Amino acid sequence: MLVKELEKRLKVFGIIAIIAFCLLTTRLGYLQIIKGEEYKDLAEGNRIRLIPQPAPRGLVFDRNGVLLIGNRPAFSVSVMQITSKEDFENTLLKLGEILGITKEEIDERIKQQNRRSFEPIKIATDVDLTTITKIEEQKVGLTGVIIDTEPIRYYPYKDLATHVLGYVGEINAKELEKKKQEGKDYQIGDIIGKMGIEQCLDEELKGVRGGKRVEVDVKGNLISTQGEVIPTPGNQVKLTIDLKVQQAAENGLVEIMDTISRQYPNAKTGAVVAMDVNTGEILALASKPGFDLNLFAGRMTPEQLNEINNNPLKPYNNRAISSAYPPGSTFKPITALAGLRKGTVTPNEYFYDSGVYYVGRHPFRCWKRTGHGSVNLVDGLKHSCNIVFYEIAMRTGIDDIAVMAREFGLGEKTGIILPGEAQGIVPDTKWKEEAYKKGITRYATWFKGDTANAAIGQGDHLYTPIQLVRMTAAIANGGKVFEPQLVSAIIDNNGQETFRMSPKIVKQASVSQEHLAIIRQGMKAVTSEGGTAGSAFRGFPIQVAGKTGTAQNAHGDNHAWFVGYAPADNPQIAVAVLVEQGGSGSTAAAPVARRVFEAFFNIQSDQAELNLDFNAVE
Amino acid sequence: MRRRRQKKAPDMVMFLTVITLLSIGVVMVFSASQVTAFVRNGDCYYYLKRQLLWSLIALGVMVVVMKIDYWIIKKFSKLIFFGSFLLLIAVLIPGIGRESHGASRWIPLGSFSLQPSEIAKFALIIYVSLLLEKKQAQIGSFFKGLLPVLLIAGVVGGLILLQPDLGTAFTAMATVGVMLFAAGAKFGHLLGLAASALPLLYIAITSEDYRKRRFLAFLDPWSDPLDTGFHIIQSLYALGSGGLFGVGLGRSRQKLFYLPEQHTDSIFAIIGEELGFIGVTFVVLLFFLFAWRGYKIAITAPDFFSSMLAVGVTSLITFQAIINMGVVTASLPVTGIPLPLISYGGSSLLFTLAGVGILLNISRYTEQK
Repeated sequence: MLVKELEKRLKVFGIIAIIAFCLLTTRLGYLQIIKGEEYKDLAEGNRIRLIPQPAPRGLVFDRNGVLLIGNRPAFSVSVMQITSKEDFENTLLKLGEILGITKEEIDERIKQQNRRSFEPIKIATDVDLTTITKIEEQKVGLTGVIIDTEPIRYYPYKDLATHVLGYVGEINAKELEKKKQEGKDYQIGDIIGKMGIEQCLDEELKGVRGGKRVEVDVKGNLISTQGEVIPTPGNQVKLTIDLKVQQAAENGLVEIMDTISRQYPNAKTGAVVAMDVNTGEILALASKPGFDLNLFAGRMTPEQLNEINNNPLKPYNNRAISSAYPPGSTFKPITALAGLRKGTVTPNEYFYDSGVYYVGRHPFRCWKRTGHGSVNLVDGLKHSCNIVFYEIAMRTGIDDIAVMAREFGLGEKTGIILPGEAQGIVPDTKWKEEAYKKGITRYATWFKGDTANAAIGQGDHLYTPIQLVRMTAAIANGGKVFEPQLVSAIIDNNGQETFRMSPKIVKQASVSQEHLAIIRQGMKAVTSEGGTAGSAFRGFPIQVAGKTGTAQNAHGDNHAWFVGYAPADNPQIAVAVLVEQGGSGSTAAAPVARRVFEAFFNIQSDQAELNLDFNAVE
Repeated sequence: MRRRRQKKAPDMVMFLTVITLLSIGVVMVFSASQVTAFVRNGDCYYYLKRQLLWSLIALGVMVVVMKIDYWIIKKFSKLIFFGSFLLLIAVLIPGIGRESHGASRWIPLGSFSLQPSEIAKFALIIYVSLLLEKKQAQIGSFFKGLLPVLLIAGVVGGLILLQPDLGTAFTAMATVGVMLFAAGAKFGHLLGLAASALPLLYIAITSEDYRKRRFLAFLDPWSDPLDTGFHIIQSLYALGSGGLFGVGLGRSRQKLFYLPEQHTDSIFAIIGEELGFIGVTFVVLLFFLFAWRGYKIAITAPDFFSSMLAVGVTSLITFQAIINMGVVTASLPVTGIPLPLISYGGSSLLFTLAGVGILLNISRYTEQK
């Protein structure tokens, strides 16, 4: 019985074992034959890694081929989770200690990049050699830490032309979303221009990223390189900027702010734009303060970033194009031109300036309390006599003045490629009506007093420095209003020019050459002995034509303006200088323009020649 | 005791099956371990040398066990059991047992180490066989027949669980269950036992966090691919990469540190990757052959004791094989059970082959029925 029973019972096992083995074989068949390809691919993804290689961004030069933005090699540290979670956390803690960053910052970086497992996540860029050596020494305990070299943006002149050149940074979620919508090839982790040329020419500069297809073991050690796509560097950009003119503009601003700091302690910001009179090329475009662009390229501490972000002087603001200011007396040539065109004034007419001008019962004063006595239009420009322009404006009417202003490109974007350009305002009767509807002005009616204010560039005018330099260039070149050009040429990797700047005239102001000649005569007188900029240009070997301006500022000291061009009889360069809260155009702005002209014409600058006449208050 | 009948030649199918499995093991241990061995020990033959040495020693032991009269085993069964019992207690004492990965499973002896639970499994089988022979008549009774066996098995299982080593404890208990069933225990009793063991198993799994996570990981390894699911996923990748014919001997990529325990518990996955579905099916077939011959020996065994012994040894090795292959194919939760006769490991080889020696020994006395 027992044997038979045992046999029976063991047969049950036999059957169970057969079933178990059959199930196992079926399972193996499913895993290896049906799911085989899928798992094989996944396993490859396990060990085949695409290591992106960023392309070096294109170099940027000034008009004479001087390097303004380059690249330098820097170490970067990336991590890749290839061990257990706990080991990885320990590695990150250790790495953070060496790099001097907190675990939270690392976690944040990892979260931001949110890559597929087994792909490197960049933790730090521009790591110094000492730190790299430390990591290499402790490599055994730092499984999954990868050290790489990558090109980093380098700005040899630090904060020079901050707002023209711009800075770069890693693409953020918003930018990526936008680029993707435009159908552009951008990825998480890409370096993208965030300001200036870096931003608006990003697609030219960024190049084509390459990559390596490598096989690695679980520790991330390279087994073999299966393929490599060499990155293509970005295109080279040649700007219209002239380094020495740019430097002169910036140094001139700094110099003057320092010189007048006792009288005008709030004069800490300003802008200069210099333009080729005959082509519209921008030779210099400065806005102060700027910041060291290298900070954003490499490793920046949160303190450094906060210092820039929280600076009350707003260093990100490109004052040359993004902020609009009342032009003060630099507007007077427009008023005069409007009067000449309408025939309400002739060059031979003399006005009497007693120091005060009545519009109805309201007294409007000349800046010189005692008055300039008997003055014609040229004298009016030379001395910046308000009375002459009050009278011309009353005869001409605001709307004709506004038309002239618009013909010279005021109150509209100039079309420079830099982002964030402001439009400004040309005030006239229609503007006031609409401004009233929007609640900007108290009245809808345009008063005569408004015309008087507008005549001398006060009141509601708002223009950017780049609009004023373009206006000045148009006065100098016979009324041609250019689109400002900032890029001279773009050269691809084969040395082929893919873009070459050609001057673009936006419009021609309909003014007669005789009328312009009168204005030029007046502007020449401004820089001559006795003119409002006479002391600033005393002894200057080249004849300059210009106009000073002092714009009333409700929030502090007056803004100082100077616009001008040179040589007066064969104009090549126009310049506009703004020193916010600089007091007077004669003392704070004209000397900066002189520095710009010195640089442009290669004239040895002589400190002693810079005459500051604080008594010449406009 | 006296000699009952003339010795025959041992079961050659069983013998060849085991030798084939052992050979596959040596080759695959070398293939799977060479990179790890080179990196860790600076010698890519490190594990091969040891596995070869242990295979030879274990084969020697197998031959000795096969040659001696098997009732000598019966005579010493209490002593063997008591000895293994002491070792199971000793391994739990800090200072004697070696702690690694939070478990105390090894007793270091010079350059080698002993795994008491490996001896204990076989000692338990021998002792239970003895008990069952004695209680043969009362096996239908729960208290007189089953309970004494259950108590003995429970104590051994409990000690193994304390190490902790749930996988080994489970295989030992399941083996005893099979022996009870084969001995003629009532279905109802065994079902009841199994039913009452389930909650215990549940508690054992959920009481330790790592066991719980491992258990869940087997159900959905991709929910935590870099931690608890890592092992399983890498295992599946290895099998899948193998396809029908495999990537070729020695050409596994997963062994490059992706697959943990590649030459021990996960060796079946490396076989699957290098030799493909054909290769693993061959291994499954060999284990099936082993089970078939083992149970056949049990049926034709000369007496009840040897019959039970054969059932126990066959079941134990078969269970381990099925559980190991089940784990590698993500059909069962991850437990650290090696693939008998193939995985790297001295203790396991030694006692498995000693067990095979017992089977071959019994096969020499079988009678055609």
